[in-house]
Formats: sequence, structure tokens, C-alpha cells
Amino acid sequence: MAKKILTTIKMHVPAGRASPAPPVGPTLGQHGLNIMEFCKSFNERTASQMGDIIPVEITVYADHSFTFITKTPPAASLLKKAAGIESGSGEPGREPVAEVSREKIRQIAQEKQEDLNARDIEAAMRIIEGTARSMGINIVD
Amino acid sequence: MVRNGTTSREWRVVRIEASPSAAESVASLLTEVTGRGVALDEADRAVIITGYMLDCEAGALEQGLRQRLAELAANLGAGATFPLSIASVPEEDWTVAWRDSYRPVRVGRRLVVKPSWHSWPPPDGAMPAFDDDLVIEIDPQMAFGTGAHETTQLSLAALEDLIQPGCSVADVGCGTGILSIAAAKLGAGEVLAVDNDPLAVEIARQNVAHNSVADRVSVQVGDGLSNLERRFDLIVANINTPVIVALSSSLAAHLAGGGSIAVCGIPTVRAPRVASVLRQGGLWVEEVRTQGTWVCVVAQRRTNRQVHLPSDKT
Repeated sequence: MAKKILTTIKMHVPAGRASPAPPVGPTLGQHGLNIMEFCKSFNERTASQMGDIIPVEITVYADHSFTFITKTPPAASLLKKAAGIESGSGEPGREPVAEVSREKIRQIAQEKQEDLNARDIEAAMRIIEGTARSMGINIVD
Repeated sequence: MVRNGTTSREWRVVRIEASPSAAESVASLLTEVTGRGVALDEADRAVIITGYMLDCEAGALEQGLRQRLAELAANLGAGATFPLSIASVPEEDWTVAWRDSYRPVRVGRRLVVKPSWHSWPPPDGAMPAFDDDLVIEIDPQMAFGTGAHETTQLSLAALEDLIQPGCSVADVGCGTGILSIAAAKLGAGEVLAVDNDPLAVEIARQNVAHNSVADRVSVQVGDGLSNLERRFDLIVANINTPVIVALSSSLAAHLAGGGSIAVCGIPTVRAPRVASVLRQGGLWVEEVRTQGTWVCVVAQRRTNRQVHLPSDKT
């Protein structure tokens, strides 16, 4: 049908755990989208990635119908997993101190290369290394 | 959760502004602190990252976040700053709050399109209801065609005028199936709905069953009608100009003699192009209907006898 695009919504949502609570409820609600329909579809599509944070892009059409695509987890989320830092501690003010190997950086760069817009694996690795440094994660050989 | 009553639960809403290159790190930090997801709004050269926490003390939250953001800024260097604000919203039942913007819509003479949570006739008498109203129940989902958009309304009105009792109808690019359901309720004998999106087909099948017209409407995955041997008395296609142009000769070939086609989803400025390709397919353009900035072009495959009638001057 005639899909006239109204807007695009971007969110990071834990895989398999979308619920009508914030941020999904208020973010989708303000555009009049069927929240339960999104949660059901998102959780179904990401069930195999439980534990990861999934970036999702929702395209909203003029009649409030919508579609969405999911991307690879953010580099920061993959780095935390690799470094064994717990997510969702609910304790602000606790700086993680950790390290990951260069080999692990390469694996993450490979996983994310298509979403990173990097021309080769070396360029993708540099982006991931930058994110690691910003998080206070040391890279070791 | 209590929707209209009193509730003491408050959500803290944290908004942090970051440069596009730092947005992912900030989103990750906020996700970690809140234990929930975040929303990202791309503004002018900045990204606003919004996160939520339930029933927590705003001061402590702000202090902790500022400390983490300062560490992040130090790691990033080059004077990175992350403006931060914290507001509050009361908890509400977001599973139903989004429904407030939907109301029943009356289209043409007899069609009423409504979401499932509104009854018809309206109990508050807010809209006139008639004994011969044809009510279609569609809830907004992940397929186009809720009845709220002008192109859907144009298509529905065209169907109401063009359908003959017992005729065969093809609905190409069916979305939610709303046009097929309307066709069946308006008296079509058999309706075939096709869409190239398997999810739309699944949703259309559910809507067809829900509206009790499954005996006359079948839904299948397909690109147009190209794999079908048969012809139809009426074809409706509410898609968009490029797809209509690409499919026009195939659609024209599937029209029975004397049959009509209504193509919608076309911005007014593209109407001449669409009319032209329909003529190239051997059809006569009968009518161009407009609503807002959209048009519906109605064309006919005339039988030999009809061809003598003068009218197609455009």
C-alpha cells in the first residue's frame, strides 16, 4: 500500500525484553503506534540474542502503521560483554576497570563491520578501539 | 497500573545531549545505569539520548550520572560535554494510552472503519450511525491500511462506486487487507488479496477472518498478479507511483472486458504519468478522484461495443 513515511524512531532495547514500560511505551505512544504489537515482534525477532542490547530503527508511516529493522549490538555493549562487565547494575558512579584483547577487538569489528560504514577491518577496529578507550577499557595484546 | 486513578509511581526521565560520535557510548552508559533501553533522537549536529528509571531519587541519580559522564568526557578528551536534564513523568498504562488518537472513520456512503476498542454505533452518539452501515474493524499494526490515511479512504470510496454485486476483485498490495474486506462487504463475489510482504499477508488473513469475510476473500504472497492465469472484474491497487507504473501492463492484462481498475497512492503531480501508462496498457481513463494531495485514477478495459462511446479526451 501507499507507505508515506512520517518519521523514524531509534532506540536501544535489550533483546527479547521489550515491554510497554519506558522507554518503549512513551516513545512509541507519542507517535500513536501499537505498542504491544511492537513488543511482541521485537521479542520474537531478538529471542536468540538475549543478553545483548539491540539498536532498532522503527519507520512510522502516515497512518501510524510501522515496520522496524534491528542492527548489530552497539560496540560498547559487545565490549562490556567481552570484558565481563555487568550491565544494568543500577549503580551510577561505578567506573568499570577492565581490559580486552586485540583479538577480541578484531572479532567485534568483524561482527559490526556492515553497520560501521568502515572501508576495511583495520578501520573498523580503530572505531571499536576508540569506543573501548572512551569506556576506560584497556586493550592488551 | 492505574490509568485514570491515582498512582504514586514516578519515572525519572534522563535526557543527555551528545555529539553523534559519542552518542553510542552515552547510550551504552545510560543503558547500563538504568538497566533498560534508551531512545535516541537525532537533532541538529547532536543526539538526544533519553532513558528512564522508576521511583529513584533524582539528586542521587543526577550526581552519579554526572560523575560517569565526566569520566567518559575525560576518556574522549577534546573538551567533550554532555548537557544533562532530569524530569519526571507519572506512570501510566502505555498499552492503552496510544489508542486515544484513534476514532472510527466514516468513508463514502456506508463504510465505517474502526479500531476494535470502539463499539459501533458509538455509545456517546458522537457520530451518526445508520442501519445499513458496513463496519470494518482494523487495529493499527505492522502493515499499511488502517483507514486513517487519505489514500486508503480514496480507495474505499472508489470501491463503493465500482463494485457490482457478485463481481471478482483483486487487491494488489493489500497491506492490512482493509480494501479486500470492504470489497467483500460491498457485495463482491470473490476477492483475491496479494502483497509481497509475508507479514502483511499474515496480518491481512487475521483481519479477513476477524471481519467474517474469509469465505469470499483469499490472501496470498505475490508480486502483483503476474503468476495468475485468470482475469478480474475489478482491480484495486493502493501502492505508489513507481510500483503502479511497473505493474500497469500486467494489471491491465488481468482485467476482464468491461472491468475497471482503481490505482491509488499517487501524489497529484504524478497523476498524468500514471494515466499515460494505463492508456499504454490499452485502458481508458474514466476518472481522476482527488483527496488532499492524493489521487485515485480509475480506468476501464472497454469491450468493442463500448469503445465507440466517446469520452476519453484527456
